[in-house]
Amino acid sequence: MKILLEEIEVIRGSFSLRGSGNVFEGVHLIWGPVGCGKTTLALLLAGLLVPGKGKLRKEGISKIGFLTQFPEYQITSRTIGEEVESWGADPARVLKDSDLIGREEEDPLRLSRGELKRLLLITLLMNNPDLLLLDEPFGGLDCRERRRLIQKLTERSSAITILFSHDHSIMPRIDYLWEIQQGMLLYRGGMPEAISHWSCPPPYLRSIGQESLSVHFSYNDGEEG
Amino acid sequence: MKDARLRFLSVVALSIASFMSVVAAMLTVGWWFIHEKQKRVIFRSIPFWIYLGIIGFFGLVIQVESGGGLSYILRLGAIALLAAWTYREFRSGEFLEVAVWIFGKKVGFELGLVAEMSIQGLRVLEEDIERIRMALILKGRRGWVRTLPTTLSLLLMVTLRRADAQASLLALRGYQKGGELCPEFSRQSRELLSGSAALAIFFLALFLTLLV
Repeated sequence: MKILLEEIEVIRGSFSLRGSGNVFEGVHLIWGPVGCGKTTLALLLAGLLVPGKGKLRKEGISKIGFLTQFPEYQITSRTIGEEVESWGADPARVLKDSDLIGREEEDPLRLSRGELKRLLLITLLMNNPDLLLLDEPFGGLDCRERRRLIQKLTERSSAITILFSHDHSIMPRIDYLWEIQQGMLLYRGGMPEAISHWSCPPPYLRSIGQESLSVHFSYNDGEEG
Repeated sequence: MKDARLRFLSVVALSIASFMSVVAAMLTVGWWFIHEKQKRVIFRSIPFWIYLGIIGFFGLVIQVESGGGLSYILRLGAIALLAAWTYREFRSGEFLEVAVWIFGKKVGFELGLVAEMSIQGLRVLEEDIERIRMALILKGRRGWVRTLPTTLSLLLMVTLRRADAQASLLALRGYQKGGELCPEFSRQSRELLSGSAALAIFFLALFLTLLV
């Protein structure tokens, strides 16, 4: 299961994004400041955008799950139950896990953004897609929900999970780091070595030496962040 | 056409002319071909072709029932082309500026604001449709006919809710009636010639109609 990016280029108005690389199984973080092109890349990987130049190939991927930055844009049904069904998931299980039992007849657009994000995240995770794309997944979630999401992501195996985020205050265990800088997608390497190449690592990692980082990551392997 | 006043004047004159006479409708299409540099953009517009299809269908029915369907298609087709062009050329704030310039700061501002909000609502609706289309692709539901009722009701609800939020925002900001605006317009030298040509087509259509 992998994605091959061969000198791709996307141009949207005055904005352009270029890059190459191979995306293998594991959890990838694509980090970059607001407006750098993370959503464009997510749309590209989801197959909703076609690169102007270059090739994008997906091998062994049949099921894609994509949570957009604004989950309300993904709603296509009038009730919460119908919305979960529209993703091919079991409403009873999803509603139980999302703490929304008894609300299946409610309008999904009446949910708060946090509740909606939680609902769609759990729906997508239950579908267990080969490729899971999460665009700014932690925005709008409280601390408890963030931890729960991290736990769920850690439980995923034999699949590709890609997180697109500008926020590194809380993260699951990351296997590979990518950055977008000035319209270029740059592969920084596997963790924890990639931290030394990260242009803007989180403050809590900046002060820790490389040696202690290795210990930290191997200790946390398989656990919550 | 940079000057919104001339553009609106030309569009109104050409629309009336096209409605009145087939010759004027054909001249209008010619006028558009001369002025539009990016013709492909409009020809690639799906709503434009849907609208033309509807006109074609009713034109055909008229032709079969009583004759005159071809004239209907030509006249309404020219108006549809003008409408698509106006919509594409529109820049945010132009309706407000033109309405204030014509009708003043009270009535003009009100009319302009309504027009602005309507056009912006259409633009947002376009974005909503695109997002729903993407969501349906992600869900693997490609049969648009089956999802059409749900999609339409969802769009209606979202639009109503947005209008409600917009009205609340205006009320919250203390909006009651009219407003202050000093419209500014700029134009290129050839635009006067284009406006004059549009008026000439209008008067020709008027003359032809009176002659008949």
